[in-house]
Amino acid sequence: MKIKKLFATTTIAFLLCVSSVFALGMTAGPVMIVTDVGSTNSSYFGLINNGNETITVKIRAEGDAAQFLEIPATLELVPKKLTNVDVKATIPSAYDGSLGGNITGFIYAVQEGAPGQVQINIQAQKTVQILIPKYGGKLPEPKTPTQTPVQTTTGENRITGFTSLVSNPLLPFSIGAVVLVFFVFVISRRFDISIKPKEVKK
Amino acid sequence: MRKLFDIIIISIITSALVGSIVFAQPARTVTISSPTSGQTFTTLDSVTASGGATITGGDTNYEHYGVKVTWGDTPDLTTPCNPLASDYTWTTSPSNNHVYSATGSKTITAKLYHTCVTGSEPSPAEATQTVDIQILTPLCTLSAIPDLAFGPMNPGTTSGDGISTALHNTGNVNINTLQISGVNWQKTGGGTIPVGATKWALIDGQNYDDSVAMKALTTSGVSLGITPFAKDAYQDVFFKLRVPNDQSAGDYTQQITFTFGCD
Repeated sequence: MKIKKLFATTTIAFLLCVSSVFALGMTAGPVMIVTDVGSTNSSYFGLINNGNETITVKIRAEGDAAQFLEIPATLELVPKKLTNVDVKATIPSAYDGSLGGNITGFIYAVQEGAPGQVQINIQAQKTVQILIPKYGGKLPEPKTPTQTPVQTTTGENRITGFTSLVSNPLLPFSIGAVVLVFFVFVISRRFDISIKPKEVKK
Repeated sequence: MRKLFDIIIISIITSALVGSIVFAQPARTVTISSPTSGQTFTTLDSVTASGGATITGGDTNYEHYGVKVTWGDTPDLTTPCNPLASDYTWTTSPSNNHVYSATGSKTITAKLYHTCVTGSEPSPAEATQTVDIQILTPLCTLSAIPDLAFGPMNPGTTSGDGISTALHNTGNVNINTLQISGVNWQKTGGGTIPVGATKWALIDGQNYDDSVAMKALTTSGVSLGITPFAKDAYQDVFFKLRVPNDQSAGDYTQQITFTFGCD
């Protein structure tokens, strides 16, 4: 299994070296736009070109929400830089609520592959929801994400807590120092006593 | 008299020495075992902090201690005090885990309090530890390498094994939807081969005529059946083409599209 994974990784790495990198990314999560009848509101999501050359993606909208959306037809993506796609939603005054207060659609961003016998395209799909309060549309309650946090690197923790005498690694030296002071004190006392001249009673 | 004086002095010093060891300042440390420094999360993640503590000397009843966690967000938040869950371990309760709203470097701080269990912390924290983590924008990214080529083929023949493209999620969150679709083969100057003449499978060496093992390409998207496609996941997709009998000669091309989403 490990060998297979290693082989796959090596193969991918080799292919990345010999051909132009071809990868399209986008920010996670749906786009939700709250707007009322006769109003316009906007939001955005991010696209990123993980390749090594500037590309142009074609953008289009589909679904019920598409007729209310305004998006750029194309977008130029420089390598490795997150670029926002502005999404504007306008609900005309004549809207009668026939589609409800939560209108869903999709925005697609297509990166076309190199022309050849078979051209491989990568297409990012972003869900868009237009929420119309007048017809019951509202943002969902915040929920706790269930995604498991992932660890990519590890490092040493930085401890800033104090350490007392008991757990101090210098403890033996501290005790030694106290003992040394003690003996010096005793010896010096004995020395002082030994050289003290006897008092002569007059 | 002098002996008595020496004995008293020695006793005083010995008591001080023993006292300095037995009644030493209590040792208090708190550690954060998770997350670790350098760990990365996205704004979709719920971050749990946990760790341990050491309590030596003085009141060593761990039930009298608790840990407060500050998340380093802006505006910063501090969870309520979490009493030590067991013998010197602690973890933030699920309701007190943190979801970051902004990206960037964040410093998580854990402080150990003695009177934490009472709900008030009149004295300073007895120990502190910090870890630095990174909060990233949640991204899903799909690459497909390389482009496909079946090469020259005669009518009525089927391509061989090993023609594939490798999918890779280079983002930091799962891809939740992943579909494949295609269009008819188009010949320069007119003429087509039906899109379904191309079949795909996730395992190499499948029989072209096995409709379960190899699925015909369609113009509408069909799930690859590999979601959630986790970050750093790889998947080879293998293709075979059968050129219909009596197909006119020419240069044909086809487009295949992989559609992904992470909503």
